[in-house]
Amino acid sequence: MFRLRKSVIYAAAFIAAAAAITFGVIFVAKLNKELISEIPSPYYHDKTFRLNNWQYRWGDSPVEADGRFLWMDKSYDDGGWTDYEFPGRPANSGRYRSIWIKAVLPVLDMDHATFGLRVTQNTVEVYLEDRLIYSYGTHSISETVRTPGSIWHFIDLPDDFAGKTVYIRPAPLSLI
Amino acid sequence: MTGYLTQAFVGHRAAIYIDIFKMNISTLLIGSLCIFLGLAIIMIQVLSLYRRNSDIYLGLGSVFIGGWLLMECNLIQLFTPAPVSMTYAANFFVYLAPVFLLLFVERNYIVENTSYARLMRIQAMLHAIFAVAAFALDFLGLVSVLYSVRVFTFMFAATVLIGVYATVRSIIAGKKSARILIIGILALGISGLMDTFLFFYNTSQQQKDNIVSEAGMLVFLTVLMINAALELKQLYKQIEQQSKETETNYKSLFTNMTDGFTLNRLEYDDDGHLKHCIICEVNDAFSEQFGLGRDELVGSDLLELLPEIADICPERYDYLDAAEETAAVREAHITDEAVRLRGKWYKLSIFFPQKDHMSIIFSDVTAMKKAEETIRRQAYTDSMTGFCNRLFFESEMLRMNADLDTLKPLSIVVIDIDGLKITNDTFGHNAGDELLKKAASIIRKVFRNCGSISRIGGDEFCVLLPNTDLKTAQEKIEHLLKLQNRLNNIYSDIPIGMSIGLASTEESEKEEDIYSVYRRADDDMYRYKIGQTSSAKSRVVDMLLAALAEKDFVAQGHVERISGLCMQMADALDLNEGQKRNLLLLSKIHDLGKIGVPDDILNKPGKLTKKEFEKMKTHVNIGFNIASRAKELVSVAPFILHHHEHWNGTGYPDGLKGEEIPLECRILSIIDAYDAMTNDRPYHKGISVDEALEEIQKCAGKQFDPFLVEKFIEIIKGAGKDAGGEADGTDTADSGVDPYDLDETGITYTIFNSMIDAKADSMANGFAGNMACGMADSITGSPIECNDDGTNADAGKTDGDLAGEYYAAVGNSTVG
Repeated sequence: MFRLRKSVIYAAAFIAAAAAITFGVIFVAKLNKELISEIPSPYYHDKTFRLNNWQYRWGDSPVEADGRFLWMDKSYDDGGWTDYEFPGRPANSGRYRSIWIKAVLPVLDMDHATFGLRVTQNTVEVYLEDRLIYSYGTHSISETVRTPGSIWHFIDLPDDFAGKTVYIRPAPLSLI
Repeated sequence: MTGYLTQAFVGHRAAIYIDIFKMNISTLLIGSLCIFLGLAIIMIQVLSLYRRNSDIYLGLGSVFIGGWLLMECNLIQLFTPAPVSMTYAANFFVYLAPVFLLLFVERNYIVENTSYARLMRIQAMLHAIFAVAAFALDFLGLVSVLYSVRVFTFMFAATVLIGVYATVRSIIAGKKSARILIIGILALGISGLMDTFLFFYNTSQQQKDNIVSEAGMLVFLTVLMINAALELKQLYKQIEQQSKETETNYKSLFTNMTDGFTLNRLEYDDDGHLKHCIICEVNDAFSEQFGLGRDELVGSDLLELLPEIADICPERYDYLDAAEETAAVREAHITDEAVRLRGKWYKLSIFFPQKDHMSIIFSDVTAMKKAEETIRRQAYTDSMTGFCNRLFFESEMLRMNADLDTLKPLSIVVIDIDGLKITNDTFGHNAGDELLKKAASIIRKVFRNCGSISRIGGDEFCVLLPNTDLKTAQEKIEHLLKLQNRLNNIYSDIPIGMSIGLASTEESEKEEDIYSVYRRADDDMYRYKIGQTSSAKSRVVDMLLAALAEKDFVAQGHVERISGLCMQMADALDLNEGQKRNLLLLSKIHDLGKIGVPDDILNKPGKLTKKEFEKMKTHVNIGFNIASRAKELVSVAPFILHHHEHWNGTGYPDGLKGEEIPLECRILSIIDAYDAMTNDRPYHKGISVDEALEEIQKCAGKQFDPFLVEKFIEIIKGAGKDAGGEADGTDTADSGVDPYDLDETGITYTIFNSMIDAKADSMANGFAGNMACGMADSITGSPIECNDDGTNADAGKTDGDLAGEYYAAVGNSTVG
């Protein structure tokens, strides 16, 4: 009995220690490298802003003669955008397999601001106003059937992001 | 699921990270906990700390669920350089987790070999096949894992239903352990299904991060923990019970073992040497072995109780002191040789159960040791004399030869006991054994403190005298001879004769081995034997005559007289030297066989019965046998056999007649009768020479050879009236024949001295008898033989009938 107790305690302690060390090292190292050394201390806390003023629109934007997407044109307002609360999902698309989502970035007194979003099983293109600032994956359903994964995207915003509209164009990769 | 954005922030990355961490901490912890529990269970199984093989499925299932949660956890994906692989990993874990969980539940909670148990196994197999197929199709670029998720959702739903169904059926069937599980399965199933449903179909409601699935995981984990706790409790009870049983068994073994046992604490001085060996515990057997109670023993120092212990394994003590707890230290050491402790022999098993502690098992091997000693002694000892035997002698020779330089000067004495063979042959082995023992006793007395004595042959001894010079060895031999003579003088029975040889390394200037020295000693002994042969021969006959004279009242002077007459007859008949020697010897020992005739027959004053006479007649055969076995007497053995034959064939034992009877026998029978008639006996007075010659004349042609009778009468008459009385041994010398020069080897007086002893000992081995009867048999026996009408001449005699006795000596013609 003594040997069993001793061994179980040793095993549990070993596993716990290994797990704690692993996670601890990863987290601290990452935090130290990417955050503490670069980010000024005033921005550590309460400096995130959740975008809640989301709008979506099923389908894909028509492209104008100059190559710009029509839906990015602020002068073009056909009332096709629908508000919804985030996080959440737009109402069922029905026959649509594409969607555009947009939101107006807040006015923040912040340098080196980052736009972070998690996209589940989609490739994605991100536009700030009419400028493509980020893309992930191949924006075509015919090229691959492999999963794009459910991952976080972090996009560095230009200094003049305040008040500008961000457009998110997920890839209509999945049939589901 | 187009457009499914779960999180979106704007701000500094560090702040976003911290927010993400906060949101996912619960998933992280639950996932980690699942992995922790799963790995712990697997490790316990792998280490075989307890055996219930199905539990490894629980461990694997828990690890896979934990893996799924961690891979799904945003926090992990945040830090990985390949977040897509996390998605694959999450799918991998979640696809396979049901396989293990199904198997675990089926093995532990479901009634075995039922249809629903089989259903669960099939479902587990389908899950495994599905997982493999989904990833294979993805890797082949055919179908994304993303699409297989929906299929998995339905499979998982089926699994939950099957699990619930089988669990309920098992509960109904009396499987009590399944009751608690149903909660976990239901929670897992509901949460999983809800999560999936919300994932795919909830388009409007706000979704919290994995809250539902995490809740199901928590319930499931709670069930697992309760289950594990119950298992451990049961295991603990089981082990505790086993421990108690084991303890009881060990205690019983410890108490009832027949070997003594001590557990001791070792204490060392500052130098690291063993100082005390304090007894911590003993068993009953140890108390009995050493006659002390447990209370007296516990706390006492074993080294004081048994000081020999300290000498047995001091190296091991040092070794223990120097070493840490190693396997070698704990290994038991069994003493190769038995140790003598308080008068008994023990084999010790020593081992070290823990640091600075030593246990000893005392196995009493006294009986075995004694048996070994007996066997060893028997193997190396001559049981007759108690000396070492030939086997030991050879090993000693080998050993001494290897170490000869340190043993110099080395002397070797070889002793041969004379006449042992003839003593054995004639008087039996008891007499021979007695002779050997007597010789051994004086050899032991002389040499026991200075050498190794071995009996290396039937009658040969060898004494190895290391570090003994020649002079000392010679003194020892002289001492031995003195003792021999003293013993022979004191005891009249079986005198000892020894031929002794001596050799020493001192005698040789060159290097020689011990075998060479032994050979020289042996040669010396033979030279000694040859040197004393002549005198030994004299003693042979002297002893024989002394025996006859001492035991036979008739024989006093008789032998000397007839010897003289025999020589005169030999001269008259012009016999050759050999015949003369034989005749002379025959005259002396012809009645040797009476040694084998019982005393009551030999000494019977009256007539013998027919049966007694038949016994008396055997003396010729006995005499023949004795003489035949002695080289010195073998030449006269046939004459001894036939000296009672009669000319007319009525004698015994073979009824020879005429010249079939050896000449020496015919001569002797005449002279013997004449001497008997002419000399006084206790029971009659001797007659005159003329009368005697007349009687002999009458028997010529009947009992005696007529020609020889004539010759004899001539000699007697020519020699004067006193021929019969005066012709004693002095004539022997005149005959020119050395009566004792019997043959080349001779025989020592010892043999015949031993023959004399046979009378005194009245030995019952066939040779016992009274030699003192002397010539009386020729008186008591002859009348029957010589009766003309064939009737028993003794039949009408009365006891003490001297006339009858007398006439019997000369023939029955006068008494017929």
